[in-house]
Order: sequence, then structure tokens, then C-alpha cells
Amino acid sequence: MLKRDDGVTLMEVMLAVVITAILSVATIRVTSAAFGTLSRAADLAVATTQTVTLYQNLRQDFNAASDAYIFAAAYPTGSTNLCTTATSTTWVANDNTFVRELVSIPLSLLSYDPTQQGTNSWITPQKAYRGYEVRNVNGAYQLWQETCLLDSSGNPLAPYRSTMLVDLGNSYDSTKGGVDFFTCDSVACPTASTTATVGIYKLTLPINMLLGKFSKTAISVSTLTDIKTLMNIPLTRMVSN
Amino acid sequence: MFTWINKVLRGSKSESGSALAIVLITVVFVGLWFGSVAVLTNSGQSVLKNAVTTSNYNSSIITSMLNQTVQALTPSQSVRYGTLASGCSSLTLPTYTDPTTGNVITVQCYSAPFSGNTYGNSLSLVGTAPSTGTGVVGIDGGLAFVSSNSNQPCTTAGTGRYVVYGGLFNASGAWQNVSCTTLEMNLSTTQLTSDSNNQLPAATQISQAQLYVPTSQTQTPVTSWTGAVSGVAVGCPSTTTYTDPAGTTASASAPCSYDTASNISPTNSTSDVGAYMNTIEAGLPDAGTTLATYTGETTPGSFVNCSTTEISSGIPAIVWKPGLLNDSLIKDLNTMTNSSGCGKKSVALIFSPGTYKFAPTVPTEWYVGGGATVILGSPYFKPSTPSFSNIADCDWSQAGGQFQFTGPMFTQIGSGEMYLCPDSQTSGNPTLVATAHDVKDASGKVIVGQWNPNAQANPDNSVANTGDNTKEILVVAQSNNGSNPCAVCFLSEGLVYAPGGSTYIYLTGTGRATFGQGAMWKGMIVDVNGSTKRSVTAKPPVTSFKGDRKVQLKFYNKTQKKVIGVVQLTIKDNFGQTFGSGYKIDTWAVK
Repeated sequence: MLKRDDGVTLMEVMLAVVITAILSVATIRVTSAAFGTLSRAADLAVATTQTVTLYQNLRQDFNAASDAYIFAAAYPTGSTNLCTTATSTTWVANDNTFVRELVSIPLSLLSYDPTQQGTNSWITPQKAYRGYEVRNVNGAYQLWQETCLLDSSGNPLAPYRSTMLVDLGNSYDSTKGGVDFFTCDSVACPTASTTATVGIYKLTLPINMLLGKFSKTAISVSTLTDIKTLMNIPLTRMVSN
Repeated sequence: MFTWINKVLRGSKSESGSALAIVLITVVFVGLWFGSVAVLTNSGQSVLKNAVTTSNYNSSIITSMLNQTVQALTPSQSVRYGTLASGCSSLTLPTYTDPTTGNVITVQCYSAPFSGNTYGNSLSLVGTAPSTGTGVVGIDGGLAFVSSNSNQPCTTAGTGRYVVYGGLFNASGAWQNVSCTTLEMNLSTTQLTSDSNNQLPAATQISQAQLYVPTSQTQTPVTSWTGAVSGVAVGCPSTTTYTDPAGTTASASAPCSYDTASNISPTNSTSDVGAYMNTIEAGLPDAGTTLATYTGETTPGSFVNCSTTEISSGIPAIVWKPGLLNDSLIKDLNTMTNSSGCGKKSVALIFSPGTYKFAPTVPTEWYVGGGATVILGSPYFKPSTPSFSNIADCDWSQAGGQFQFTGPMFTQIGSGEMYLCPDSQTSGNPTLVATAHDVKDASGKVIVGQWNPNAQANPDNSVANTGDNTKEILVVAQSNNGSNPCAVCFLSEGLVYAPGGSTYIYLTGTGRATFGQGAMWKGMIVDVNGSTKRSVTAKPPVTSFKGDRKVQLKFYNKTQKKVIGVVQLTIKDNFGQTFGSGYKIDTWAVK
């Protein structure tokens, strides 16, 4: 045991400072590297979750679709089937007000709780439209899902529910519309008109997009091979017309 | 012990291990950090794979199970037009065990409300006797003929009969002057001609040509009823004229089918008629609160004459746009159709497609006189050259709409023509609505207010000679045998849904009222004098299901205790005539 009046020498202090400095630098570097990796992993996780959610929503909506209207970069002349927050102005805007609908889907919604097997009842289907639109939010693009109920004539009302699905980053090409990203039975989709005879749609939108929120460098979705594969899965219409 | 505590509290000389401890702690910390990154990355990837795999798996399971499930639903069902199909929830459907995963999938079936219900009676009289006092046959319920038309034979040569193609439902069982000289039940698609463009369905697809009444034990006694003239009866008329599908016409005795009053009660939602009424009311559109408009309108209530018109469908017309008709607008409408109104100037009144809610605050009659012609939808010309005089109907191929009478709203076709087309040929939606109660949506908002005469006398005095005949929603007045085949004429190509009140129809001269997709009234009075030729005056309604069943199949993964999807199908029983004719997927929701 040291005596209470024992001091430390200058050499001991210097040694302690040097050792502490070395350990601190090493720790900071490791921590910084780990933080970067973690941020990237978080972005990957967010990208994965967003893309899975997008896929599941697209898949369910196309499964239940009785038709699908796919739009171009130009505002459609007839707006009967639009389900979007976009206007003719925001559709072609070059600033933060940009909003463009890619596809609008008439369907019947069946809402149920997967955990409630015992619920013994007929679920009243709700006729609605689902729209998928790209928005420019503070300089970055996002893909949103819109839900529109119908008026007495069967036309979609303004969206009553909006859900952000995917951060598209800054790489969305605003000169393109839905017809540039969808194919209908492996050929080009007609613009803003019925596709009721189409069985299989394919969306290639996210492959060239960038995702990224937490790390400084955005993540190309194409690096996520699973997502790349995923987004080439056909979207099939199950409803009979 | 003391020595150890002293070491801890006062320090120890063994600081030489501190650096190692720091290094170890750092290694553990960094290890955990990287570990969490790896876990996060892997969990993200696994989420992706699992979600997609599960979703596709559920879809393929359901796809493979659909056919066998529908097959199991089909053979034991029995559906006939005019009956309510039995539900499917009690059926045991085949289960499926996935050979790869061992998951057991079960299916539960739920029928839509009124699935397979193809209510087939062409004329339904849903009024019953008042709870106190006596009811008037033809107003509070039942069917009344003002005269017995007894000089006419019950053969093809007979005239002045009211002809129904299909069944006639009478919830009260009250009749007046009903016999083979006044009422004909007809199932011959070859013998019948009609003003209506509606095609007649095959006899096997409609309700049998009978009168549907309560059993004698459950009937309201005859003392509960009165009438303008003698001849009131309760039960089953002794005869009607009957024309079979082959076209043979003769008198038929005991022409009734019976059920208990409670089983056929219109207020019983599980009865055929109750279910049908609920279905119709659930589909009534909301006219909104915006006022209707018309050509040249400046201020509601200020209409002067028919000088401001527009060309519509090739003819001069005043064109109305959908919305609410208040007292002022109904006043304008009456000016348009009065005895010196638009009919005298060969200007048609065209109500463009949509919903029109008539909502007067005081008892008001819309009188169609002066040869006025009213069209809901687009005019149909015969010959085809567009002109006012060639209007013979509304164009059945074009969209029409709906008149909703709320409050004390009445109408009379005094000397003119009214043609009403539904929103579509197959929707089954009514063209004229007058309900017995407020129809509300799920939130409690009133969509269509009750038709309510407020116990006020019908302003029309010409029908007052029939006793308590003061509350008809629709009066089709007397006519002569002029050259115009429809001088006093009401023709609805869609259902007339008016359980709130009654109608009074003169079948005289060329006057008539034709219900191309059936009619539902509280009661009906028909005034015949034998001068008119018999014609089809009522045909069966259509329903949204048209005899097909609507079911939802709920697929449940018993192993994972999760509902994996719900699929809604239309099983094409085709009026119960062609079992196994396939199915159609209405919507598909698979998690």
C-alpha cells in the first residue's frame, strides 16, 4: 500500500498522458468508423423496410385492382381517374412544389385484422382509388401513397389519407412519368387510359433511385440485390373484370 | 474482510492492471457496436426476405385453395329468384396442409347481406294495417280497384286489366275488387308488349306469377280495413287472370302463396322483402345541399315562361342540373309544366343525369299538365328524328338518375308525359324514391328524408272522390283515347321505390303507369273503366346480385394463428339455374 504522502513523478504523469492520448485517439477512430457503419446499416435498414412496404402495398393494390391508370410526365387532359394531391401546376413544377402521380388504381378495399380469426362478419368492401405519386419535399423526392374515396358518380374525391413510402433521394428524373417506369404485360403501358385487360404490371422505378437519410452518402438501391430482384417481381391483377 | 474493503476504498497499488482493463472494456464496447451493426444489417435483409417470401407464400396458398373451396360451396346450395339464399358461414370447408411447412390452413366463409337474394316480385305493396283504427285499402296497404270491371271476360279479349309480369307481394293481404276481370298475372314473354324498353327476363328467372300474402292465421282481420267502395277483402282473391309462359290466358283460382305475416314483414330485415328494401336503401345517393339549376335561371322562384331554352339531344329544352329543389325551384318547375307551360311551346324538360332531391317545406304538388314532357336522362325518339312530338321514352342506353321526394312532396301527371331512366340498366337503383323513414348513412347523416304528407290534404281535388284518397305520392290522371299513345303517361324504366306512400293510377284511354323494373308502394289504387287495352304495367326489378352469391373467404393459418388473406367472390349461380357456372374475384386482400 502506498503511503498517503507519496506523490507521482513528472515521468509518471507524462506517461499517463501519452497512454491516455493514444487510447483516446484509437477509441475515437474506432467509434467514428463504427458510427459510419451503423449509419449506413441504418440507412440500409430504412431502405429495406421502405422498399418492402412499397412492394407489399403495390402488390396488394394491384392484386385488388379492377384497372390501373398510368400517367406520363405531362398532366393528363382528362382528370377523372386521378387520385393525387397534384395539380396541373405542381405536376410540371421545377421546385419544391413538384407533385406528380405515377399510377392510379381503382379497387375495393377489404380491411381486416390478421389476428382476429374469430371475427365472424362480412367485411363491407370500400370502393376507392389508390394513387402513387412523387413529391419534392425540401429538395428531395419521396414516393407517397394516396387513398381516395368516391363521389356519387364513382369518381375519386381528393385524397383523405396520405402515406410516405420511400425516400427517393435526389435522383428522380422529373422529366419522366409513370409510363416510363411501368410496363403492362411486358410492353409499354397506355397513358392515362384503362389497362383493364392487362394481367401483369412491372415497376422498375426504384432501381435507379438513391436512398439515404442518416449517412452522408446516399445508398443506391441497386446495391441491394434483394431489392433489385424484388422490384422485378410481376405485380399481378387478381380481380376478374 | 476489513483488509479487502480498505483496499477498495483507499486504492491499491495494483494500478498496473488498469490499462489492460481499459483495453478490454474498449474491445467489448467496440465488439458490441459492430455486433449491433451486423445484427441490424442482417435483420434488415431478413425482414426483406421474410416479408416477400411470406407474402408470396400466402398468395400462392390462397390461389391453390380457391377452386376446391368454391367447389365445396356450390353443390349443396339452392337459390331461386325471389328467395333469400342460405348463408355459408355454417359450412365446413376443406382444410389444406402445406407439405413443406406443415402449416394448416382453414377457410371460413361469410355471405354478404342479402347474398343471392334476387327479390323477384314486380309489384310490392308493403303497407300493413295501422296499429289503431282502420286502414284504407290502397292507401295504407294492399291493392284496390275502384270498379270491378265485371263486364269484361277473363280471356285475351278482356280489356282494362292491370297486368303484372312476375309476382305481386301484398304484406297486408288486403284487397278490393281484385279478380280475374281486374288483375292479370302474366308469364308470357311472347304475348306481352310494353311501353318499356326493358327486356323481359325468362319466366324461370323471376318470381312465380302469384300473389304473396300472409297466412289466414296471421292476417289482419277485415274489420281493420275500409275502402271507398264495397268489396274489401283480406286473404286471397278467388281468381285472377293468368297467362302462362306458352301464352294461354284463362281465369286461375286460388292464385296465392302464403307465409306468416312475420316472415314476410317488410320491417323484418331477414325477410326477402325486408332484405331487398335494405339493399335498395343502402345504395341511395346523397343529392347534397347545392340547389339544382335550370337553363336561363336567374333567381329561384322567378321563372316566367319557356322562352329561354337550349338545344339538348337535338330539340329545344329547358335542361335541369342535379341538386336540391326547394320551394322556389318547385314553384318554377310547376310554372314550366302548367297548362300554359312548356308543353304548349313544344319545349321539353330534360333532367340531366344525377340525383334531384325535392324538399318542399309545405305540402306541394308538382302538376305535369299542358302536354308537358319530362325526361330524366336523355330522350328516346320514335321515329328516330329528334323532335318534341317524337319523344316516346327516355333513352334506355343512356344514364339517367333519381328523383327523391322528401317531406310533403306530391306529383300528378294531369296531362303530360314523364319518362324516368335509372343511372344504369343493370344497377337496380330506383328512379323515384319516397321512403317510409329517414335513410341514414353509417355516420347517422340523413341521406334521404322520409316522405311525409304531414297529414295534409293532397292539393289535387280530382281524386278526392275516392274517400281517404288524399295522400298519394303519384297520381296518374284520367285520359281519353286520343291519337297520342301516351297522353297521360308515367313510364319509369327503373325501379320506383316508394314504400312511404301510395299511388293512384287511372287506366283509362291511353293513360297508364308503367314500371319497367318493378315498383314498391305502401298501397295502390287502380281505376279502370275497361276502355284501355291491357298492357304490361309492372316488370321484375333487378338487384345488384342478380341471383349470384357474394361471399368472402377468410383464409386462416391455424399453425401461425394468423388470418393470411380475405378474398371476395361472386359465385355465378345465375339465378340459381346454373350451378357451377364459375366465379369471379371481386377483390383480393392478402397480407
